[in-house]
Amino acid sequence: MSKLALVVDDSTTMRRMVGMTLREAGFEVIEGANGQEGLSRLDGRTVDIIVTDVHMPVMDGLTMVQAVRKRSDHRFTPILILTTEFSDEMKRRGKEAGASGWIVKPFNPHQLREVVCRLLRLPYDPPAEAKAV
Amino acid sequence: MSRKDELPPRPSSKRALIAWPQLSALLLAALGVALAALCPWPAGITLAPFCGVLALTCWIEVRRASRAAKLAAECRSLLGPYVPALPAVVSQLREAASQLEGAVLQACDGFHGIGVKARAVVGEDAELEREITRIQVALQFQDIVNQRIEHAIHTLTDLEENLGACLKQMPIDPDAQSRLDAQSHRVYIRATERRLPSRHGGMAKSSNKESKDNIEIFVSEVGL
Repeated sequence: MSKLALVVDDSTTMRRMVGMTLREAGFEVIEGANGQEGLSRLDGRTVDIIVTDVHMPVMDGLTMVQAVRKRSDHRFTPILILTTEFSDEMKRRGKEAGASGWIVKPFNPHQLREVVCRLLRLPYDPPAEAKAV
Repeated sequence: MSRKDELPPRPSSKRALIAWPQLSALLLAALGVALAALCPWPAGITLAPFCGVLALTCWIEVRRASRAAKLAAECRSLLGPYVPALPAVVSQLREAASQLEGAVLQACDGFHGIGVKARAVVGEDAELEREITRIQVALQFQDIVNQRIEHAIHTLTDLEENLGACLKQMPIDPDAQSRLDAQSHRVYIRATERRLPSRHGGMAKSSNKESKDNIEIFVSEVGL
């Protein structure tokens, strides 16, 4: 049975690219365009991992992470922040909110897959490119 | 249409903006002279200097106010035409961002298909994977560009709001209206022009006929 990932980003292209990357790794992907939508996507289902941006309209990513952590069914779900923010202060705030990891955009698809697999304790088969290095 | 034709007319700076206060200063000065000449001594000679000082102070204040008013009118005529143009600029930016997003989405989908086929043909190949990754990373530029456009839009919207509020408090220069008209004409032209790129490429779902209209071949032997 495939794992379910929730991708939250206000940019359609980023959602598409993250979605493609995760689908290639065998994930089923659902999407949300902001924190509020992301939270509503969680209603009535359990996802295995959440990948979210920080700066979004309606509800930002960190507020969403805090809200997710308050829900009993997703208290321990890995949450990966994928953002252009790279300051230590923001990373600290992300960690305090309950995020499990932080990737700075633009992301390398192989690295994203590797981090996701690591967070979910799944076996990761590196691509030929990574094997060659 | 030349660049010179596009420029709106310059406001006339010689025109007196405040006439009545200057006239009152003159009247006060005249009153001082009349008092000195007509009133019996010492009343006339005592009151006349006060009228003179009052007239001078009035004159100085009028000059100051006039200068400030001229400056405000100049500011209004220089900045005023840009305020109504800002929403059009914002909408152009939004449209550009939307076209860019659409183009990148198409590129993503197309590239994904190419990647799948290439992997099927070539198999596991480090060079191919490196190239695929490089393009996947490069395609993410749109997200960063979009963020910057959103930031610019936010700044322009704030500017329009604040500048508009400021300009409302400034005296109206009649020349500003003609500049406004000239500016709105320019905005209209630009709005028409900006349809051209979409007709030429990327995002427009143009018909074959329309696509052919954009192509002109000068060699007679080659037909479309």
